[in-house]
Amino acid sequence: MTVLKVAGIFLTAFFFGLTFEGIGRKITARVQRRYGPRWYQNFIDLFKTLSKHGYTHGWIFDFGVIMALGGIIASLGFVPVGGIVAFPGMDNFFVIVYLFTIGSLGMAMGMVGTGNPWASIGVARALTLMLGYEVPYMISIGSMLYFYRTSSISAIMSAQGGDWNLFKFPIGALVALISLQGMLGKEPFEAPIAPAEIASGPMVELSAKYMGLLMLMNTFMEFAEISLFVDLFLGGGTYFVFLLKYLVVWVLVVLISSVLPRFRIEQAVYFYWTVPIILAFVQVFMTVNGFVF
Amino acid sequence: MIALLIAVPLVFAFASIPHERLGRYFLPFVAMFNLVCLFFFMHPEQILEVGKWPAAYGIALVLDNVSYPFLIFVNFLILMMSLSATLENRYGTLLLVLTAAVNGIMLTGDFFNSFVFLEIISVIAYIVAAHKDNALGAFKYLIFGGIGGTMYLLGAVSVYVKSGTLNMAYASFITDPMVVPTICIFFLITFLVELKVLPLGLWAPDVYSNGSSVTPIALGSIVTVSLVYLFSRIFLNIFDLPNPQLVGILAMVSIIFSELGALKQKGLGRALSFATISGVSTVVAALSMRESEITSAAYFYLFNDVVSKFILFTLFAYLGERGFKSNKTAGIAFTFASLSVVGFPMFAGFWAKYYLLKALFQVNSYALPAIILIAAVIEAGYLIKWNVELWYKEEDREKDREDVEAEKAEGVEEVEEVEDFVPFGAQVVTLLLALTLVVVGFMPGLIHDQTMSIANHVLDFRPYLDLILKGGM
Amino acid sequence: MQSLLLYLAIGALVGYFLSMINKRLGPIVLLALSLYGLFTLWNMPIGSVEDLFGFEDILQFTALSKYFSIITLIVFSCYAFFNIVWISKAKRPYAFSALSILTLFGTLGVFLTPHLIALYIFWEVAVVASLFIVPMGKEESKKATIWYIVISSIGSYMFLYGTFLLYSKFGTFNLFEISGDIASEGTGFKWLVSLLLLGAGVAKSGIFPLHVWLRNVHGNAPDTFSAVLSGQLVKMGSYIIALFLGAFPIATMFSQFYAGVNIFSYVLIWLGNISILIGTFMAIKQNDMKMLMAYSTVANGGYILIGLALLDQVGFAGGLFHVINHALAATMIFLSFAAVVYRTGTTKIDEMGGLIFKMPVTFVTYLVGIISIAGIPPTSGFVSKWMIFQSLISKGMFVTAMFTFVGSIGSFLYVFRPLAGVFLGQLKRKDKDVKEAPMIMLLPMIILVALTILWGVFPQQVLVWVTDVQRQFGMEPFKFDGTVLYSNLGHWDSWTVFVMFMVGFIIAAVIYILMPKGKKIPLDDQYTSGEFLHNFDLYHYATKYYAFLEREYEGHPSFEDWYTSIVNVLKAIGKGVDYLVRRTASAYTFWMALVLALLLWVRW
Repeated sequence: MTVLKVAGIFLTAFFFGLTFEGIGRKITARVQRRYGPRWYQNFIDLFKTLSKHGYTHGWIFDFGVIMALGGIIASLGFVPVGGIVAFPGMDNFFVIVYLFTIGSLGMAMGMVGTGNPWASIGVARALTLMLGYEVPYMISIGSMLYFYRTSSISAIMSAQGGDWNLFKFPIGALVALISLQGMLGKEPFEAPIAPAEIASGPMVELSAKYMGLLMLMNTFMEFAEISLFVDLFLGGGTYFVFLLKYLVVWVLVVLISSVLPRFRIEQAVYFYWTVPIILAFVQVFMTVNGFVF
Repeated sequence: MIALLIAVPLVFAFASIPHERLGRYFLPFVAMFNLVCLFFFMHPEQILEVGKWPAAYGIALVLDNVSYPFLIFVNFLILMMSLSATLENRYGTLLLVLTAAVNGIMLTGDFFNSFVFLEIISVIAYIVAAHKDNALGAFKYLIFGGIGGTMYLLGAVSVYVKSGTLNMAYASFITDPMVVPTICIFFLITFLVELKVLPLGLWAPDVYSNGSSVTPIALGSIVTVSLVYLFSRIFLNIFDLPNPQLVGILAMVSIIFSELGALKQKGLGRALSFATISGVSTVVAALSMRESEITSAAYFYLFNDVVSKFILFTLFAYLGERGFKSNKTAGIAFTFASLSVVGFPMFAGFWAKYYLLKALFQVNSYALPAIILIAAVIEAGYLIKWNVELWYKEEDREKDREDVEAEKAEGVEEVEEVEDFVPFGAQVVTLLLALTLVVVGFMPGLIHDQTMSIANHVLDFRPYLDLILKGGM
Repeated sequence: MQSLLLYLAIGALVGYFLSMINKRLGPIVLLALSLYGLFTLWNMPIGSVEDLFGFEDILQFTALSKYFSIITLIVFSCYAFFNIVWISKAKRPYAFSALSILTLFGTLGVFLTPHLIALYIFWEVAVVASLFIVPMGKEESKKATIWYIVISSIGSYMFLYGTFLLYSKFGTFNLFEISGDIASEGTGFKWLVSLLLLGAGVAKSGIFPLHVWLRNVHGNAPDTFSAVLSGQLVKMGSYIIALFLGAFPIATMFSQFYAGVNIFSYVLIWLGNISILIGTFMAIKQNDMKMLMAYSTVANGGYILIGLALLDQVGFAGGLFHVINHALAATMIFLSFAAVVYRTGTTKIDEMGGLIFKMPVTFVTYLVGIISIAGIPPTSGFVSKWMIFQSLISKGMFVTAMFTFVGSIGSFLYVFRPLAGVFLGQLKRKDKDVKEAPMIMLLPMIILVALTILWGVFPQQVLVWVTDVQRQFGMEPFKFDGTVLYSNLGHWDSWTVFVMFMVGFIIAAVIYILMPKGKKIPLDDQYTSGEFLHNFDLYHYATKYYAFLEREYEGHPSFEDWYTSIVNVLKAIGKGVDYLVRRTASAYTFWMALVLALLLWVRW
């Protein structure tokens, strides 16, 4: 049963993740008064890149790519997708957050292993940005864990009932949303990629199947991160309700990103360590003192 | 019999005058003779009334349980010094006289007599201080010592005026308690000068740092020990220390400031001199408590400090600009001594600190332990710095050697390398003393039993009085 | 225990003389002794009491002793094994080996005795022995020695003062006898004694405000000895903290402050917070890899302190668990650095690059080490971090949680710097002929890698030790069932996580293998923004890796500078004293008269 659930999560992430990404591209294009690619363009991209011969810079490059995708797949398995909860009780928030970093580390390692300094700069920026968004994110989620006395995602999801945490913890939800923008690497927190500035940063030396594998990893990562937000703040719900909520959050994120310019990296960190952290502590103060709506 | 301890050195001193060179060969034998006498033929609780005059009227030489261990220790130090120091011709004679004087000052039971010995010590000390052309330092010491000596004389005279006797035991027995503090002030000034408690010990760094292998040991170890004895005799045994709290505070201030002075120094000699001030100040501070455990610990501390500083100063004298790489024996002795000074376990210094702190805490004295430990932190800092610098000097020198070789290739004269720069005698002595520190570090009882016995006796006035006055006047 | 200590003491001498025959014999003696010790102490029942050199019942084998001794001996075994080859680069091999053995003697002694004076003696033995190894390192190591001894002395003399304070009150030096009575003493006394005793732990484990020695000492000490310093000697401080927090009834001694945490623990937790902050941000800006890990040690010391000071079921266990994690990880990392330095001769990150293709095993060691330091599953580092986070969140200590998050995320930043600068990127031309470290060096590193992953996936063995400690101190033990770890905020299963990790990895690998094979191209076949490059040494981003972040806190205050200026003030006072000494005699007589007047005036 667990195997089936895990497989279900993976397949959902694969199909809907790529589909929603395609929709996202379309929305961005429309906001920018372009026509944009078709919704299934990402499937085409993925299969095309995966099927081509690429260039590798040595074993650490290969290993890094596998580790990146593997780490993300592993953490994705723990994320409840609507009604599908593969490991009830064991989907511990910190486990998921730290499992994610395996993927990030793998990617960072593989990309820096290419020996291209743009990749190093991109990774350095990505890590710095992480220092920015993770702290307010973990504090605001922490206040929820404290309130529900559990750090299991599925337990929090089911404890909400119809009463979404978005309304119970409005400030925390706002903080999480701002952090989500950074996690997804969307504008205005796009400095690690910055195609025009540092030649796509970590991706600078990627070709063919390596690109494809990392695109897949990116899709899974986005899926896991947004799913966490939906589970924690929007009450999860049944499979399709969940996907609907997911789509709403995704569209919101895409809309925000499509109209904003990019922060410089230190501006981003400075921003995260001022506004969201203060908001997170406001949320914490309210939670600890019992002001939960 | 006990007069031999004074007479024999004096006789040999005079004998060596025609042949100055002989003095330094006499010295070890005389010291050895004294030790042999002390160990085998003289035992505590003896009194010698000079010229058969009964004690209170004439001069009495007293060998009791307090002076006996002190005599052994001082003569042992003299023996060690005679082996380790480089003595120029006339110093042999001088040190023989010094031997007589320190033995005298520890044996005598008479104020004026002790003044005489003190003055002899001082005169010799001034000459010894001038070793290695250190005239300015010696002059400073002369002025300080002169005032100190005058004060002692004033004290002795006051005793005589007020009590009509110069005998220590009897004087304390009959002197009007009202005037005792005044008299003690005079004595105290002398001791503060001679025991180098700041600010009256300001003469010491200039004198000790002259780079001689004689001065700091003769003055810092031998004279200091004998004067600590006299200090305890006068202030713990026969009179009360005037205003002990103030003396304690003064000594504590002295500890801290001398450590700071040492911290600042760029030369090892001056740093060690300041460290010596701090060590003796600690002893004075502890003695001012007048409590048997603390007194015992203070003597232990004195033992460790004197022996370690002996090693450090001797090696410093021979060290010059060199490091320890070519002479590991010296290096090990130096390191052991400095670790012992700081008070690291496995060395005598640890037990000195341990007993002292334990005793101080038992009487709920919290300030002095804190001061001692703070001083130890500073001391650890600069002594370890010197150790590391001396041990690892060689790397720089190897570079120099390469330069030298390069110069030689260009036809420049080669600088001669001295591998064993410390004389054999000094090496043996320092190593022996360093091992003593280690042995005591493992068996503190060896020294602690002795210091305990001294402390118990020194704080008990009665036996001394009985010994001298034989139970009545 | 007594015989073990005796063998070690004799071993120090034997090691010295045997290394004169052959340098390599010294480390071999240490290895043999460590393995013997590991074997003996692993099998020794908890609660054994022995005499030492005729002193009755000085040695007492508690659960805490067992835990810390085992950590120590593992670290020392690997260190000794590594040294068998490395010793050829040591400046003074005989003294190095002998002092290493003596250091082990001292630290084991510390762990084995509850008698405070004996503990102090062993402590100082370890300090002195390690003290003289430190200056065998780089040129600046001589200065580092002074930092080491001064800070260490401050700590140990505070400890000594506290010990005697306790002795003057209770008349015994036995910690466990004292701990029963201390709760009834006055508040001031309790504060003073606790702070003084923990002073040694704070100084040794590199906690703010006594953290300044670590950068100098770990950064400049002989390369392998840094592993012992960071992996083991620093843990002596953690031991003292754990011992006093556990043995003293801290919770009843001090009033509650927040969320069931007493005020004293809270002070410690704040020291831990500041240590994490300082350690993390200072590590991020280091260019010397050893100094970087030294600051990381400060940050991890903060984690351990926070965990221990929480004094509860999960947090205390987390703090203890973190001790072994950091010990292993720091040892791995410093040993891999030692291997790198052994081959390249530098510790500056930007003077290296691309070593992964030359030293793959060293790289893997470093990689697993940093994964553990950063607290990423499936290494053991995650287990302890999880425990500490759970405890903090469940108590609602969000400010402290923030610091731990910053430290945790920040650790990704600083551990990545050597990874990218030293191992990844462009291989320097001067390093073209660098070879992998010798097999003997690799073996201990591989063992440590295996242990870290083993205890990350199956943490039961360590948890048994940890819960034994908690039971002995009368705390509710941490709850675990096989590989499932429970806290009051839910549970997780390290085995499941590992399986999922493998599943993900296999899926990724299968996709990778199924897809067409990539063509291998050399490192200088690169996107170069259209430039034509002649020197790929320069095409390596390692200098000022986080420049954009570093410049945000460039003007930070430096405690090293502050302490140096304090010393300068002291020296200035000393100069004043010296000035008086150098003055002519007339000034002296004035002083004498003044003192005389003072004495007389006070008296009458």
